[in-house]
Amino acid sequence: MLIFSQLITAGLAFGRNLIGIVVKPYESYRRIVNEGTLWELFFLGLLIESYFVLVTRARIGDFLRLTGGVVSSYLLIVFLLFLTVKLFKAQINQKGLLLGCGYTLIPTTTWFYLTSLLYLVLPPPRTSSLAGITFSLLYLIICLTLLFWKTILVYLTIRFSTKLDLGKISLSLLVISPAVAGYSYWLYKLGIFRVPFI
Amino acid sequence: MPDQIYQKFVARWQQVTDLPAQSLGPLTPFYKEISKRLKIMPWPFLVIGSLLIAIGLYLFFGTGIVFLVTLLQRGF
Repeated sequence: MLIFSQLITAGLAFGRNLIGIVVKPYESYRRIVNEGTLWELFFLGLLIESYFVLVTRARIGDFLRLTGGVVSSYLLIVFLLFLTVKLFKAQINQKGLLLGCGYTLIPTTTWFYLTSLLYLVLPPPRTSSLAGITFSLLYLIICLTLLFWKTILVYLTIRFSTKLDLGKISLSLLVISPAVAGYSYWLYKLGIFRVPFI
Repeated sequence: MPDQIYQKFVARWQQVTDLPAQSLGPLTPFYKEISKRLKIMPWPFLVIGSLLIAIGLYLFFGTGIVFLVTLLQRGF
């Protein structure tokens, strides 16, 4: 009963935060890192798993491998960030870091949903016609907007959970990038993800 | 009533001072201007930035962006 009520509370918080990270990312992330509960990751997981259920119907893909790929990437990034921030001798709000990193998967999931939908509605390849170039520009604008949104959320995650400044945050991300890139390439070679789900 | 207002003020003050202020030397005013726009409803700023970069990519790569988009569309 207690778990059920905690899930309900976390579900409401998740919904509120989902809207918040779109409209007021700074304030929402402060609330997520300081007041969030790890139960919210359950709802995040449901959202991501719902995508995998759909995509394994649309294209060839193994649901368990996709889930394993996301979970391992997520844990790797959290672990690497934790280690890197420790080098700066900063205090880490571990729960905040876990939650913040989890919510940074929302832009990723949005991109994957959008790309999958467009694959069905307007399958590639694109041509060099006016329509092809127009669509390409629109698609790139959407991709870049989602990428910038994700960058903001990643920055806010580290800023609120570790209180580091921009310079040290940039350095942390630079340090962990080769490892994350290498792991993403390995997942690509295993045929799990082409674009990394990070 | 004044007590409530004071408690709210203290809570807000603690919230604001919880994070050390960001300092980037001569770039600090520039950073503050950008972060002000990104804290609440950043989408117009993000979309304009993306538009400029996408146009820049088109000017640089020409119709090569079509190949990039084809790759991305197959990325999932």
